[in-house]
Amino acid sequence: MAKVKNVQLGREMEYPYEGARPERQIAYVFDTNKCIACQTCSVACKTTWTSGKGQEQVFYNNVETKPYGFYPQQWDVKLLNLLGGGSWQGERYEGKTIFEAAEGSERAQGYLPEQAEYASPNLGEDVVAGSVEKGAFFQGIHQVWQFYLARICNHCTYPGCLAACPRKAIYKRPEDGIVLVDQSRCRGYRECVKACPYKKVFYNMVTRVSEKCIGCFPLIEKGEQPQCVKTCIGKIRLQGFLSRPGEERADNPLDYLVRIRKVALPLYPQYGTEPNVYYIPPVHVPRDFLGQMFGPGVEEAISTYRSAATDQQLLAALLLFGNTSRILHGFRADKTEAVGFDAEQKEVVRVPYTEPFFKRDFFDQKRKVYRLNVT
Amino acid sequence: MKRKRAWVNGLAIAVGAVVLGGGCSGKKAPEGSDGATEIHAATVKEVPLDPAAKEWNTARELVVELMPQGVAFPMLQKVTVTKLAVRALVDPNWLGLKLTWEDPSQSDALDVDQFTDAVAIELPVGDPDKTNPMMGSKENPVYIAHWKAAWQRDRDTHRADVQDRYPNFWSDGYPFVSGGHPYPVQESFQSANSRRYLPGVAAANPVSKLAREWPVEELHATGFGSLADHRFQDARARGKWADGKWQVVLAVPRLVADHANPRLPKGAKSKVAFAVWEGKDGQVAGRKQWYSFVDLVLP
Ligand code: SF4
Ligand code: SF4
Repeated sequence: MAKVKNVQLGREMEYPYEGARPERQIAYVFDTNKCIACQTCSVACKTTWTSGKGQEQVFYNNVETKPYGFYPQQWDVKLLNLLGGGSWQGERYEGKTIFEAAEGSERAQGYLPEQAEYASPNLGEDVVAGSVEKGAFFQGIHQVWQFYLARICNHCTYPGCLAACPRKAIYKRPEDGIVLVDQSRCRGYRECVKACPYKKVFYNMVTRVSEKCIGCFPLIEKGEQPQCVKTCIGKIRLQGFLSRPGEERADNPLDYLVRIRKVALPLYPQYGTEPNVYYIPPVHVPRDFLGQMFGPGVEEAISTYRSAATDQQLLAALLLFGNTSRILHGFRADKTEAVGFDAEQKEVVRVPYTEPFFKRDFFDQKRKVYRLNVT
Repeated sequence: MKRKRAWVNGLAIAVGAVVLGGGCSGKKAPEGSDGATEIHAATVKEVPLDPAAKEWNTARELVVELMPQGVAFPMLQKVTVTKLAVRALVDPNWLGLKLTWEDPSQSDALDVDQFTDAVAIELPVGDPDKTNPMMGSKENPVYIAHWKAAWQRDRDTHRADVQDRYPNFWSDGYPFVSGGHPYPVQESFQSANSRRYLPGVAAANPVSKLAREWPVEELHATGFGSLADHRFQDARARGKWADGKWQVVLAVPRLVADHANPRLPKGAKSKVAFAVWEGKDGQVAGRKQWYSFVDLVLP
């Protein structure tokens, strides 16, 4: 195994191949505080990519309710148990990654889900973490919690799927870091399904090969954000590119949110694949639960997030979510608006910090009717 | 008389195996009913594909003791199929090998958690004495004929479909398909547009084929991870599971124009290696039990 630098673990780790970071890495920020579990993203993805026979239970994008929702069943709990725990010393992870915990006969520690574990993608939806006290339902802030976790392939810097494939049928594109299963080369061994810690490679029993999220690469190549991002009702998503570590640009919204302000965090960084979907943690969830899920930066991320109302630069970056179909390579905080730029530095979106507010008369003189809604 | 076998490559691999976790050290010499250690094909008028054909009784049986594959990732830690019995027949055009092993479960379905039983033979394409039995090398490639129980099932009944495993599985429809529920994959997906939604099929992946003439695939390899299927598929096979046993006949043409095939003329001396996969135990790819090259004498 080679030694590679995992920036999310604050240390080197073992990986079967030499490190080869792409020129720029496809990355996403998902704001969990805004997701409403409408599943528009899941449907947008499904109708675009996985509506064929054999893909009925394949969701490249799924949204599960934490703590009791999983797709496939128990996916994260099972792997956490297999890995046996670890701890963070500051920003450094001291436990074993899936590569370091691998048994002698394989490349990565993992497990193969049973078919039935994919059969109920919504099981656990809207189930809260505890029971609601009698009467509390009608009084102020609820004391129990849950949150929605939207999940896609993380287009990991050190993909578990790629590491485990004996066929070398999985590759990571050097131009944007998108991880793909070569559909003409895969032989359906399912080593990737077993090794992906996020269970985001799927076996298709009709084509008899494995498939995964393709990052909507035909859109990416045209400078457009992926389907799940563009269609998101809650405007929780932003897709862009991360620069190589050490080459971050403060005007790149992804670099800014993830690496500079650290307001968005990787999901289960301890698995060791350096995943590239970054989550703004839910502000209302117990910190030990979030710490296990998003690593040691949770408290700082939440307090930074809470400061957005008075931090114009941060607010500007957050307001770009869901307001353009174009991929943003740059942004600027103007006096009253956030401005986004494409790869050619052409302005493609302007979002006001404060939505203009109009109040209309209760009675519409022109139409001679009363308005039900005046704002 | 039993003979110790050690080829240059085989030995090097064995040493590697010890370092990597002890895969193929301790290979036991094969054992024929008459003490022979090589496979001597018997001559017949026509090699039968039926494993129950009486001609197979004219060939003597050699039993090899299988070992876990422990050199390349992913490895098999422990064999679950211990022995493979081999008989060989030739006619002027074909070499036939009948392979028999005990397997209490017939695994012929494919699903995320369902793996198929399978067997493969490997023959050198170049110089048999210089060929690495573990997937060959650039200079001396290997030829592989790979039979799978799932393909046998496809051929004996029909191409396995979603409803074969889940009879009540309902779908309102699929893009660009013809016909109605349950939209059989071999009938309703005829148009190019409908096949775009079967990515492996659209990419012409041989594993995804919707129709297969024989339950066997011819492949060649020039090292680990290099397995590729042949453009022309010449091999034939038939397998039958009964009474806790698989009996599979693999027939390889002796002389074909395809230069990726071995040339097996009259009087040829070659070698053959074997691999067996037990589907029930999730065995696939390198997770296999195998036996390295055995001498093969062809009248
Ligand atoms: S999330 Fe899974 S499928 Fe996606 S790149 Fe990482 S290991 Fe591979
Ligand atoms: S579309 Fe957006 S808001 Fe709706 S479930 Fe998906 S991520 Fe959440």
